[in-house]
Amino acid sequence: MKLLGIEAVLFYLLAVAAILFAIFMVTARNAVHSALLLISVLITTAGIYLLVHAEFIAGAQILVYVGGVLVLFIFVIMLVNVKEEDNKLFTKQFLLGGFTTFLLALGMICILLQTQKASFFSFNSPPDVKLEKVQDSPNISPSHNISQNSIRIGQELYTRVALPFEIASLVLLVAIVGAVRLARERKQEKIYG
Amino acid sequence: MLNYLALSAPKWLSDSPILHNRIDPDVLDYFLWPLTQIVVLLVVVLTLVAYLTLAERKVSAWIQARLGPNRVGPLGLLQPLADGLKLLIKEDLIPLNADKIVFAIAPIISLVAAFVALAVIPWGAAWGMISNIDIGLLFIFSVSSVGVLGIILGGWASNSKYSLLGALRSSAQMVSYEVAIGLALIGGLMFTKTLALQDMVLAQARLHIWIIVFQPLAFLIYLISGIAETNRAPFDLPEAESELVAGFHTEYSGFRFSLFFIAEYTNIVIVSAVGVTVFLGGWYLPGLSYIFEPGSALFVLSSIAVFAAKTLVLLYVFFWLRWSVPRYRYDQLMELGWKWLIPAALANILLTAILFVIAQQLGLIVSNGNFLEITKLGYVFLIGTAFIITIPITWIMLGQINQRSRDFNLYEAKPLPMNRKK
Repeated sequence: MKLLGIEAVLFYLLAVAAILFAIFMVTARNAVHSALLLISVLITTAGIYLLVHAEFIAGAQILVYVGGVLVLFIFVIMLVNVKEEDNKLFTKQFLLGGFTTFLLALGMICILLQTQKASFFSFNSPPDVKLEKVQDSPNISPSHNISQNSIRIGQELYTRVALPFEIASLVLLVAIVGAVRLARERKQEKIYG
Repeated sequence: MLNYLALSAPKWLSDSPILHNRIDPDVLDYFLWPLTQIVVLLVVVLTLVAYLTLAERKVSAWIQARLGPNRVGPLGLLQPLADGLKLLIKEDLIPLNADKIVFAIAPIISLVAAFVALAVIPWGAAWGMISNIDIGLLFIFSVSSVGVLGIILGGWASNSKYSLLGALRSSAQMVSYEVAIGLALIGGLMFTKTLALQDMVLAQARLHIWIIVFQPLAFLIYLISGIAETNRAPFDLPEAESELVAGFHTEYSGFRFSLFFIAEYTNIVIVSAVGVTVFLGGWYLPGLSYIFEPGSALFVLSSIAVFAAKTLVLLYVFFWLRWSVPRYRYDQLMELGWKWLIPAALANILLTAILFVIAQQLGLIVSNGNFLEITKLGYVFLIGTAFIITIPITWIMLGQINQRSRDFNLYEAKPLPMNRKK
């Protein structure tokens, strides 16, 4: 896929920013700073989603991850009051960590070579994957000419991917109920039955 | 998109020969015109926010039979200017043990999150709004959920117990009431069939009705959670003066404090504007298109005036409630959110969906592409059932859910009714 003009500029800006933020996030010594940098990573990723016209995913990403998950992260960090770790960047775990990372990277490269065999590092767009062009029609207001993302996602969620969606929500529900059960004390159980 | 922007520019601007000869139309459509809109919008909203503080003080004064600020300028109209000047020249204090970077970033996050959301609100017809994106409502939600971070980080970075407690309270409150707001709006979305805010107004203009008559319960839920979401009285626990000094912004002073303050008032404007757009018909007023020709500059200007009038009414309701209702206790606040508003919103969605399908089966609602067509009997059916069926059933259900809620009130003085069961 070839990127042209402003799209290319934006993509490379966002991609480089995301990678830099990710590196800073891992190396930050303060948990809250890490969370803040993780938010930056998520927002830049949402920007990349916007570039490929996946507006709904971008919005949902920020709403769920930044507005929900990370707020809870920061909540927990603040409540347990994590002290700043000592500034020794390399510990004895360094060797083990480095070895694991090396193995992971090796595996990843092997997989990438397999998938990219036909066109290694070529910039041709794969065949058959083409976005349907949304028909311009006079009855539809201008916003729909950009994309009909949300309508499509809604329809898919209730038809084709209904089962996986329901399974995912069931798993989440079980997690929530389990958390509540674990958090309640015996005494409370006795009193309220 | 290009054509739309060219159409949306006012005629005298896009037709004027000076612009067409010298400036590339792309630059005009994508850069100059939106930039003009943004500058105008920012100036208007900042002025509005400044005067909202004055309005709030005046309204509170009238409610308490006082005069309110009347020293600076005629009727005290220059008071916001004096306040702003005072805040600018105050000393900028940073606590010794504060996390300085986060302390500095927090108010900026709050302010940016509040201002970005202004971009997608339909202030008027055609060129009265900046960008009509497909995910409008979702965009507002995601951006305003980032605003919570500003408050939490500000409270944490101050390294003070009052700030931290205020931040904790505020984030818990905003996260829980966000759910209720989202669920309340879904009822309205069923009738507009879109997330794009301008299209929602157009859908209401097509139906010749405001969504509030179909969704009275949802509007009530939205209003209550909106007040809680913006941390205002009677839900202003995060900055309860009697307990927490000033909550999350205790340690902030001068300009940084004013950034938080502007963000808070901008959020109130956004909540009112979204409420107007979804439930009160946005800039649509029955009969407006007969007075002015739709699409003309006068029509757009009058539509902006209509939107502003509706928003100001909702803002007045916000002020009015602040000075009429005492503050909630924290457990009461959470109970109201999770045991009353969220179940009510869920019941509203379910009942509305059932009634909607029944009406569709009876042929009262016909879905025509992206819009709905409702027959005269359909209007009667939908409005009637909203009041006769949805509200009483939800009320009974809430009564059932909260039957034993007092038993769980840990702070109540009377002994717990242990043997009530069996």
